[in-house]
Amino acid sequence: MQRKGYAVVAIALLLAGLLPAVGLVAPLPPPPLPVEVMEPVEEVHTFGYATTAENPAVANITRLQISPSHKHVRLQPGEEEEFTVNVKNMEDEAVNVRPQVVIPPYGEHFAEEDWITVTPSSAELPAKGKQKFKVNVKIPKDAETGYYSMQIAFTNDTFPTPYPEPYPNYVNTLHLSIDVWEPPKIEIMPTWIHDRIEAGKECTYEIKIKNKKDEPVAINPKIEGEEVYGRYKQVIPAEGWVTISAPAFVGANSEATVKVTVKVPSTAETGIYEGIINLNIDDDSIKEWDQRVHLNIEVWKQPSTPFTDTFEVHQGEDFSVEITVRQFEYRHYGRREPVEPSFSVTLVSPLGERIQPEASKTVKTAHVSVGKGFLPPWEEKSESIYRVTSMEYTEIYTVKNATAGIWTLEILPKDAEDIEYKITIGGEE
Amino acid sequence: MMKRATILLFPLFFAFIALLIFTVQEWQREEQAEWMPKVEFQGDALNDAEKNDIREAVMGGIIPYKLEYDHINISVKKNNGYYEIKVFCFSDECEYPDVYDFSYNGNLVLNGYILEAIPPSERAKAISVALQNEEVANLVFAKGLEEETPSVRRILPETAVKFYAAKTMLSVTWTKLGKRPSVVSALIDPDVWEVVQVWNC
Repeated sequence: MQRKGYAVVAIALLLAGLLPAVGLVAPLPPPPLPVEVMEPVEEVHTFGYATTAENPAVANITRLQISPSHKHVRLQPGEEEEFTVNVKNMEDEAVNVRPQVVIPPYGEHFAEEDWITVTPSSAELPAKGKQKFKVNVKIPKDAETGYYSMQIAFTNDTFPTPYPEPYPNYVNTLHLSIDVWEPPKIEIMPTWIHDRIEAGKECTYEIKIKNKKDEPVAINPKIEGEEVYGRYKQVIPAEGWVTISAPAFVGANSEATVKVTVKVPSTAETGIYEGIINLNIDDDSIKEWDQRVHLNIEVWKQPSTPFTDTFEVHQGEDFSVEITVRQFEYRHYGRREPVEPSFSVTLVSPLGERIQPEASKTVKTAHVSVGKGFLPPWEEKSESIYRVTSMEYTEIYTVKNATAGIWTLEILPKDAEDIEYKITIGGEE
Repeated sequence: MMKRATILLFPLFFAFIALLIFTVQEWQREEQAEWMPKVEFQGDALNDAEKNDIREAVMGGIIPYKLEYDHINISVKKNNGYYEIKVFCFSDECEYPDVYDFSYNGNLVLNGYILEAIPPSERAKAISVALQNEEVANLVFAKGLEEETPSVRRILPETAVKFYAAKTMLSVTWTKLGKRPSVVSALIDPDVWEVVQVWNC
C-alpha cells in the first residue's frame, strides 16, 4: 500500500514538472531576469557534516590536541585524585579555552559537575601554544559505587549534524571515566572450583563467605547452568548432581560455609561439565557477577576393559614392553599431591597363554612445577623450590626367547589420566 | 578475738594470692603454648644440639602473613659442612603452605621461597583486585586463562624492592603450561590494593 502511495506521488510530481513544457501553466514567456553567476563550490558531504573546500572535515571547528584524551580513575568515596591534561592549540591564531564539565544524560550512574575541578578555569592559547590543565576528581563520601562517565569540553565546538541533537556532541574533549569502588564487604573463597571426579563418586567443596559488615546478610545459593560456553562442555544438571547446604544468613562480621556436594551418577558420560553457583547474596555492595562460583568438573571413568595392542615377534626374539601411567596435580581441587596412578598388565602369547609379567624395572617419576621462563620476575625466588605437579609410574617387562607369532598387550589403568607404552622387539643380546 | 581471726585470715589470704598468681601464670603459659606451632624434623639425622640450633635459626627466619603457623616441617640435608633446609609451614586456615629454602652454616641464608599461606579472604581479595585491572583482565581472557585457578604468592620486601618498594607484596599469577605456555601475573600492593605491575608471556 505504501509503495503504491509513493508511486502516485511520484507520477503527480512528474506530471506537474511537465506542465510548463506543454504550455498549460505559462502561456506567455516570463520577462528576462538578470543572471547571477555563482562561483563553483567544491562541496563534499561526509556523514552529513557541513564541510568546506579547504578542509572538508573540520569546518568551523577549533583544532586542539588534548593529551590524554581518555582517562580512567578508580577512587573510593571520599577520595580524590589529580592529573594533568596537556592542551595544544593547533590553529594559527589564538584560541580562548574554557573547560567545562559535561555529564552525559545516560549511563549507569550520574556524576555531579562539582566532582571535577579544572584549573585554570580558562586560558588564552596563542597560535600553536600549549597549556597544562590540572584536573581534580573528588568523590563525595556519599557517592554510590559504580561506573561514572563524563567529558571535559575545552571549547564549545560541537560536531555539526544535519539534524538536531538531543544534547551537544563536543569535539575538543577529554573523556573521563570514574570507577567508584569500595573494598568488598563480602568476600568469597574460592570463586572457581575445578576437579576431576570419577563417575559414580562424589566430592564436597566448601565455599567460605566472609561478611565484614555490621549486619547479617541473607544468602540463598543455587546452581545455575545456563551460562556455559565452549564446544565440548556440558551443563551440570541442577537436579540430582549438586546438593548445596548453606545457612540462610552470614552473621555480622563472621564467616559462613556453603557446602557443595557434586555427586556424579555412574551413568554419566565422561567429559567436562560446567555450572555456576549463584550465592544470591542479598546485598547491594556485591555485584551479581562477583557472587558466582564457577564449577568445572571433568567426569571420568575407571576403564573396565583393558586397552589392547598387538605386535609380531619372530621365534626366539626378545622383546620388552615399557608402560607409563600419569596423573596430574592441577586437576585436583585442594589436594596437595597427585594420586599415584597404577595399572595391571597382561601379555597374551600367540598360543593364547595369558601371562601376568613381572616387571624387570620400575620407575617412579615426579614432575615439578613451573620452571625458569614461566615465572613473573617478582617470583624469581620461587625457582629454587619445586612442587610435585604430576606423578608418573613406569614398569618395564622383558620377555626372552619369545614364541613366534602375534602377541597381545592388555593394559588396564587405575587412577591414571593417560597411558604411554613402548614395545621394543629384538635388540642386543 | 579479732586478733585471732585476723591471724587465721592472713595465711588464707596469702594462699589465695598464691593460687591466683599460679592460675594466671598457667593461663598465660597455655595461651603462649597455643601459638606455638608443632615443629617436626625430617631428612638427615640430627643430634639434639643441631636440632635446637637449626630450630632457633629457622624460627627467626620465617614470618607468617596475617596468620599463625600451626605446623612446621623442617627438612634438613647435610652437605659439606652446611645444611640445606627446606621449611614447610602450614596453617589450618590456608589451603597452601609457605615454603622456605635456606642454607645454614651458623648463618641462615634464604635462597628461595614460595609463600602461599595467605588467609583465604586476602587471597580472594588479591585475585579480585587483579581482575579489576583492565590490563590484567584483558590478558587473562585473551590468553584463555579465565578458567585457570591463579596462584597467590607473597613477595618479600627484599624481592619487591626491585619492582616497586621494599614492602610485602602479593603476586597473582595465572599459568597454563603445555605446548604453548602462557602466564599472566599481577604484582599487588596489599596496603592500597592496587596492581602496580603486570607481566605476561
